[in-house]
Amino acid sequence: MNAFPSSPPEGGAPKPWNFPPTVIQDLPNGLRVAAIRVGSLPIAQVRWVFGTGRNHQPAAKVGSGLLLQRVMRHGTESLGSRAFANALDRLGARMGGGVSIDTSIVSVAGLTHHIWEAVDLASDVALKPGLTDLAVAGEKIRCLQLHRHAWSRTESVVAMGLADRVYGRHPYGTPATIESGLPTSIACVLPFSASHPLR
Amino acid sequence: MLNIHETTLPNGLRVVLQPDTGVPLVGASLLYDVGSRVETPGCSGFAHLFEHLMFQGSEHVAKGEFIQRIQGWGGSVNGMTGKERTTYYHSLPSHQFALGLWLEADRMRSLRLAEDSFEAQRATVLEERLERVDNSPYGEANVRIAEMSYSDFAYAHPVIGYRDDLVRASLEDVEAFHRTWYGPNNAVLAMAGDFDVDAVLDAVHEYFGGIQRRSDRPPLRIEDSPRMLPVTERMVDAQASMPALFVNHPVVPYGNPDFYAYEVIETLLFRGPSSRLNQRFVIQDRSAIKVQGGYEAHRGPSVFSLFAVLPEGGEPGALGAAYAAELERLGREPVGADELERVQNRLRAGRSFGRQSIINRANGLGRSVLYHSDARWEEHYLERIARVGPEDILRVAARDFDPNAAVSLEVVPS
Repeated sequence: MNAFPSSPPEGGAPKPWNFPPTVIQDLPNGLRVAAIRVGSLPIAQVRWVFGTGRNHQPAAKVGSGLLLQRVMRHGTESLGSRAFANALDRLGARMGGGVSIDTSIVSVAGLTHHIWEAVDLASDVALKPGLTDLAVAGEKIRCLQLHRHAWSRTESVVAMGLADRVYGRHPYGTPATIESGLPTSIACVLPFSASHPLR
Repeated sequence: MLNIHETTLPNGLRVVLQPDTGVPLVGASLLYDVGSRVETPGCSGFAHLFEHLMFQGSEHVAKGEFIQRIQGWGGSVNGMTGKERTTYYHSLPSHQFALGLWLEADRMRSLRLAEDSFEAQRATVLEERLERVDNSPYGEANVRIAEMSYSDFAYAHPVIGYRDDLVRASLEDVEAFHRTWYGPNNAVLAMAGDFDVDAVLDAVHEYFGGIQRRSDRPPLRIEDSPRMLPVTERMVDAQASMPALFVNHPVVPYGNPDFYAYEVIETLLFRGPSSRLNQRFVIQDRSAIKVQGGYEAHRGPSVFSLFAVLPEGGEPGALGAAYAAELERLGREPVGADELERVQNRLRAGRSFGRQSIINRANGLGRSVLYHSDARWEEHYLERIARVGPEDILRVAARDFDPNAAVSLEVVPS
């Protein structure tokens, strides 16, 4: 048995790797479609990216984008809350999303053999969310409770306090609060949804 | 069929490799069969404390250098400690696979345990405990529900340990812990990714082959008697702003044929927007703002758990009764074909999502060997899940979700 080497191995030459080919097409209505084929796993993701983010929220209505994302989980114009949940799980799908500074994302990822149903579902929820008063009211209460729950965690307090000190009243630094959430209604969420370029 | 290679070195180190040339990356996972379940009263938290000490340097690697070298090549590195095992894992560009093996082997053979590092890491762990337990909502409750659920100290105490035990620990205790549990014959090395099997095996023999086998691990004497009396406690939590409810039922461990039925039940109740508890408690009744839980399987006593955060003013007892009714329904009404298809698809997709990470693949491979002594356990998981039918769920739920065997902890804000 050889002695243990006292210095780390050099390693060989890096192996080449190219990003998989990306096909991009612009539709006449302005929608840009990008498709990338990756890997060997039987899963696919459909992602809608809109150029509307926290920057586009009026200071008095901070949280509208987040609330819209939550309300989207209650279904579409054609699928109620329960039917939408069943449709997602039947595809083995996960719905994701988020609101960053200047974009909003809605994504559905699931099994490849259900890819076209996933495309339909992601499109339906991104473009025709079922924005009902009932869903907004329910999610608003839940958001406020979750927000209150988050404030009891040290890391949340630190993150929010830091953002407040750095950005002040600018939307970057203004988290959704109970005060900003209470006046939020469907009237606030609808314009945010409508500002998605394809609406 | 996955391309899996297995070997065991003369010193007892089990090696399992799964080459996959998809992207030029490798993931490696070194699992030591030492979790908090091996700790004895007065020595809680040692396994986790030791995870910290493993990054404090070895004969040829200075303190902090392990992480710097891996990250210097764009890789990622970390460790995790649970009740069952301690895992050290990293990813690297494939042409640097040997670097990761050399680093792991050096600390297996010559870990540097010094008083200053020990004191610094003990202080770090005590801070971590303050953050996760003492100053965290439901942190103390998480500790308490485990104490209520397991009759044996091995599984009843928290992985992070009790503060007094950590304060009392000495460098000598930790050195003894290393000698007992950190030998090659108590470890599994798993690698997945873009590598040549022969080249990896050569490196494994060169770096790990000279490490001395240690004495056989001491036998664990874990009492496996489930608690059969219903216990409900109420706790005031000064850190919490909302009420919460914990409920645990004793269930079967790893290796039991009903393991797969529990995986299905977990998904049916907890996973996905159409899951029963999400639909009923969060969407329909609004009796909870968050519902988590599922099957906490171990090689010893295991539980099926619920953790729910209630809205302000919510009554944990009422939610507990509703949960008991849902479990009772599982043992009475056969699950329909549509619902079972949704559950199977979620599990199928979830497995693929997990395999996107090269580190997850290595970790899964290592767990398959450590817990099931079967490197192909992951590969056959979905076939076994697909065989779970409505009759299995009825039988298991009727047998195990006995309201007279549950422990509950109701948490109310101060």
